[in-house]
Amino acid sequence: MNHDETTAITGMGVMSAHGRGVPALANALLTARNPFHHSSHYAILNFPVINAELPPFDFTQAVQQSRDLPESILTHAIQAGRRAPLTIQVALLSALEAWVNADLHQRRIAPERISLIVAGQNTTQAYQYQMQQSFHKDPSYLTPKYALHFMDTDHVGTLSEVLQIQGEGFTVGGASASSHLALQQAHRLLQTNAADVCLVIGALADLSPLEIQAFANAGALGGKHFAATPQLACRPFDKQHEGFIWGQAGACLVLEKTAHANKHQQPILAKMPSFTMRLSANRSADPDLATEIAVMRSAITNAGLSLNDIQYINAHGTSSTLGDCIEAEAIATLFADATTQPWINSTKSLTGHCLWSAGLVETIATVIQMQTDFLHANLNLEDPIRSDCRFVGRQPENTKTKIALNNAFGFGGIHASFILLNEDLS
Amino acid sequence: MSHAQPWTVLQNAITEIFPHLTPQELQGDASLKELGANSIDRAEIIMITLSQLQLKIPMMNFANAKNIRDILSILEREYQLVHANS
Repeated sequence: MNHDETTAITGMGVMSAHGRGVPALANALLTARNPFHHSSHYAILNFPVINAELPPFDFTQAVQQSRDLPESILTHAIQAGRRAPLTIQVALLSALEAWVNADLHQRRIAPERISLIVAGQNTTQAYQYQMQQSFHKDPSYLTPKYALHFMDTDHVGTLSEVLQIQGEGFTVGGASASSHLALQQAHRLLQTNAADVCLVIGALADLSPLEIQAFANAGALGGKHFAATPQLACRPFDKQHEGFIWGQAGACLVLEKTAHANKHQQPILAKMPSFTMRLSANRSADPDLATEIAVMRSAITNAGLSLNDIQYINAHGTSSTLGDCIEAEAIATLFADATTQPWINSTKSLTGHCLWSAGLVETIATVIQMQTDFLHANLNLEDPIRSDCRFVGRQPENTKTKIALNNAFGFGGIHASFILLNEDLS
Repeated sequence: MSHAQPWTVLQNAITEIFPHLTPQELQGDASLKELGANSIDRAEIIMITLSQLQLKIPMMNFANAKNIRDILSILEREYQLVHANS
């Protein structure tokens, strides 16, 4: 591997149930802060909805608190986002944080050499649900801006206008693997020299009562036996797991080639040498053991690594009964002959399943853990589903990680894995 | 401006979209475009006003409005018509 060519992360931004900013997420991971509550936003449903929601925030105030950015960007962000749907506001706030973190406000990079990829699909469901209610009252007064906001590409337009990005820009949908696919496309843009810098946004999945009910009816949602104790409902890899618990988060990563970052003397947070995606030719929600093994194996070998190099797996681990079991079996099978077993945790145990942005939130979580020499707890992992997997327990592990694998397995047979390297490695 | 209400509602709609604008900037001969409104912003300002006043005017009728005064006169004409009949 030519290390100068490797895709590198130089900026991170996130807004999750733990609040705004990477330090808030880092603190939550370190202290295993439990963010799960009953939501008050789904009174129409006849069951208690458990999730990890964003704390309330004032968008204008949050933008004004963004440090170091020129006034023109802040004013533009407020004007573009003040009345926009939640998912756009969160994308803007995450992007502003990552933009400053990567020093893009100070570096001189031609706007047409910066690209923008947004991970996710159907990003404004709750907003659309709300609009339908006013539409049914009187269709003629439907707000004209709905024509912009119902499209996921509203993210592309808004973020590019505020940050004056003029390279390529598009959305990438891949169900729960959306972030992985978007990161892979960003990697390709950089590796084919179509861009010098690429912003990847993980859109907040703002689910309406329809999606929540559908997930519940499909048997995918957790929280049934733990309806009265929401803080116990999200329990990836535990024998009492019973479905995913949704989490709200938006995230942003800034990627560029190592050589480009070095030329600008820009600190590198981690490197991303290898991405793999595979379909299991399956339109259902069911996981597929063979494809999970194949996609993890390719990500490892494509990076020039061996199984013994993988120290840590940030698992897909949604707390789904079948999904957790198949992923754990895939890991146990793949690593059966490895000399040491990789540690496994699921960031979803501490953030909920953030769907479109999950992979980006987990990448940020992995970088935080690599930088801080710990692996976060698996919240509520009391009785693991397998004894031959090396799960982190309910307390964090103090350990250095240099090489990590991250998985995402979405509905519709969409499987993706990638490798993260600690920046000190090469 | 015989009817104050459309003007007040229109002003409020403009400042809802552009809170930084001062009353001095909202003069009849100012165009929404010059005040920074894009095509969707302009449509939204008109839609908010129509909704508040409970008026039904096709958006096409505003296509040739060059400034705030033109928009207001279309609104007032319809407002007076509706209220004369009520």
